[in-house]
Amino acid sequence: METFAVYWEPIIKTYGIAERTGLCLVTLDLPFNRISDGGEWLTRFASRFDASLVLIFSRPASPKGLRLHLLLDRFPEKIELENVETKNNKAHNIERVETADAIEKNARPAQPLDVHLSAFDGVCSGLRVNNPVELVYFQGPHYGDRYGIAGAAVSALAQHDVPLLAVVCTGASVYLIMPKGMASAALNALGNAFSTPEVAT
Amino acid sequence: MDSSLSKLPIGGLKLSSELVQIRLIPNSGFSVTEMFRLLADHRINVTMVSMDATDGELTGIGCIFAEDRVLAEAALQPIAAAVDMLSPVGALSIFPHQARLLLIGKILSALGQDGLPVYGMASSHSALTLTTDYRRLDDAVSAVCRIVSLPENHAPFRPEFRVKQF
Repeated sequence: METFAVYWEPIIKTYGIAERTGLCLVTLDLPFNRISDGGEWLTRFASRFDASLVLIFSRPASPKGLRLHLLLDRFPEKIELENVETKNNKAHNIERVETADAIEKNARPAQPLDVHLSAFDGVCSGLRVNNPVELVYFQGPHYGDRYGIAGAAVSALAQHDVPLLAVVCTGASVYLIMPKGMASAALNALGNAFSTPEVAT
Repeated sequence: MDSSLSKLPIGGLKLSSELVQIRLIPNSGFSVTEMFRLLADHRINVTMVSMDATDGELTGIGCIFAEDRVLAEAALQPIAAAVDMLSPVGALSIFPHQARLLLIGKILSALGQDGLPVYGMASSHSALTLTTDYRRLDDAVSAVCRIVSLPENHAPFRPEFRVKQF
């Protein structure tokens, strides 16, 4: 049995658009044949670090592996990147993309090595830390069943020259990750392209 | 000891119908905006998206329903050199993940141990969705169920109907 219903809206509705700032995006490459090892590394990492996961997402990066991203609520204080970068920069293709503020923050005296990123050896490669980054996200009615939502969001940001680091959509949720200082511009752009509920005062 | 005690509790598992995973190839000269526009012009829903700009421009994956494949191939003809399609793909959603990296790590480990492919992954605040071989979705459920405990009387559910926007 098929049931048809017609729903039309002149502007795509959201349940509200939210932002988070001061986040940290960690990226690494995981070979397809080391998925199990990568999972075990994440398990060990999870038990010892002090940040909270906001999002996790991945996509094929090459015929041989996944590019895995962890969006964390802050730069994990217990991860000592300086040593790893100094020791392993060439061997493991570690790249760090940071703003001046973050670089200043990470210039603090070395902390004890509670989490060793060198444990990536032989499992993951291409470690990148993009810190800080910002997140703008929203949900809306039946987004998971409708076409054109992600495209409308990406187009709105492109029209306002808001650069994107990542786009993640699942279910009725749309997540847009951008460099520091761009969330306000993104909110303005999305506010013009989408309908958001009025907040009662 | 009851093995369920050592398992991580979750609320449920949801399985997709058959999907096709579209990949926008890095540095192909076409933008994700254009890909989304072509699909939307043909009213094709992209059910899961995971894209990043680590290769320069935004690139990554999006999933469509298998029945939309022929239409999508026609829609994407103008950028055919910039996309490839993987099928059959199935999505397994675990909810809620409660931001437990431990849970996610164990799930990846279990899938890897059973030789199950992970084609992509996307989380929301509540659910974690992984894409794998559609023909092996039941195997993926078995792997995940070794490490999670489900509420009593819950069985992983498949969609019995679809809402489609015209």
